[in-house]
Amino acid sequence: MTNNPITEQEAALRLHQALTAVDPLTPEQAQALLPALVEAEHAGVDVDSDPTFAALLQHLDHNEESMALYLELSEDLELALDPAADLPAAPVPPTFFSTPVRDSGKVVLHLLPGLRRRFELTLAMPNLAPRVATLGSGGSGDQPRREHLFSSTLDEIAGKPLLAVSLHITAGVAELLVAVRDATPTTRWQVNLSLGDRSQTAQTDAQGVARFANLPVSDLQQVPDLRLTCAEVR
Amino acid sequence: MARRYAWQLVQDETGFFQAVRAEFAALNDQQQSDRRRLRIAIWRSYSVLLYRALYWRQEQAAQELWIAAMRLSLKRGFAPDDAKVLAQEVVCRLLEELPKLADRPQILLSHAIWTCRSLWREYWRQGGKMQSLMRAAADEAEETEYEPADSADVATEVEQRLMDAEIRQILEASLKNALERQVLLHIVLLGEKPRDVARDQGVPLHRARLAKSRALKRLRADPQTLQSIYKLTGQLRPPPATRGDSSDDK
Repeated sequence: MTNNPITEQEAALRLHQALTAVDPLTPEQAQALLPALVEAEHAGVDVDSDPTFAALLQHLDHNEESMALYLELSEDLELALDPAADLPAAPVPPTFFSTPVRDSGKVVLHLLPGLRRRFELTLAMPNLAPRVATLGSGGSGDQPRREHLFSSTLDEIAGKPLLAVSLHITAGVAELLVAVRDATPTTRWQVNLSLGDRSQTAQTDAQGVARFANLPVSDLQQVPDLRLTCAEVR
Repeated sequence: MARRYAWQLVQDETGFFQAVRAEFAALNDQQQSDRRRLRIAIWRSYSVLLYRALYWRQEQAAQELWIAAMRLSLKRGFAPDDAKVLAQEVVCRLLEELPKLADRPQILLSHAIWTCRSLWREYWRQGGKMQSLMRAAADEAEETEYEPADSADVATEVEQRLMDAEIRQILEASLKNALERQVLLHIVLLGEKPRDVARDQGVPLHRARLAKSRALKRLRADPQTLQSIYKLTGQLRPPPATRGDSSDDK
């Protein structure tokens, strides 16, 4: 506790500032930050002195729903960490990755369980070495080119979406296009691209295409395959 | 914890213990017991293992997360069939969100709990079968009131720190809940750390934050109280209108 004396005027000023401070975040912005706050609190971090959390803490003083979520998450984490808490036994878990619905060696397709449509496609990386110009080719070997990696209707998935994956290569840089076309044109898909130990995320646009630009071909050549994890967005 | 959650990903025990030791050393809250800090250090270190195993699609990691989500859902009163579906969804959402955790894999387990909670709320909003039961449990948890410790002693100390008791009278008239009043006094007026105030009041930190939030809300709801407080500030300009309050006041 502080031992510094404080006048009533100073106290009133502090209180007035707290009462009239604006809410700096939307609920959506705040809720994305809540897990980090709760985790930090449980780890003993002085979150009240950390500028990272200042806006979120101020938001919690304004928004009841966010405060309720914060409370619930704090209590859930407390339960999970409490060795004395009695948790019910769980049955044998299902398998998530073990059984692909397609496996040709170069193409492996897994369906993922859950409330939304999800699938994961692993494609062997093609040979991306620059093509050598020949006498008959009429030009240099380093022309822009397109590699079609996959194109098929996914009959195994409800709605049978059409999936097409292609690489567009220009001057040592590639753009990966992932098209997921559904019977419902408004359906969007979130696509995670994993290349080795790095990953990126993109969402399909109105034409059903997710784009991953500026991929160095030299990086692509280092990995044996690329993995696309696609989840329907609602 | 390994027995409790059926954790089996540790291949290199020495490496894992070193990671736990590093996490333990980084936990700088000396007010927590060593046992608690150790549990958190293990929790965070195992999160890193789970993150890596999930990224490389190891079945064991997905199944361990499913078990944890399943057990938490069962604990919260979901029927087994519903809990299985929810647990599957938790794992799949974590797979989607792995890229967001790349910089801080230590929070994966906490993020899994967050995902459980988000799913439960979605389930209730969509009229899930357990809706009324779960709503009652959640409402009960939120409305639990805590009594402050040593309220008379704390009030005396505050009086000694303030030259004039008028602001105290305003707060006593507006805030009937003693915890709310004292949390507000100590955190806002006296600038004390919420963690310290929570400890002194004998409540969890998140409950102290809730009490402060509720106190501010009550004061904001009364324009006369706001005016009275403003007068005590001694400022000449009229108070600005309160903007951006996004709370769901009714």
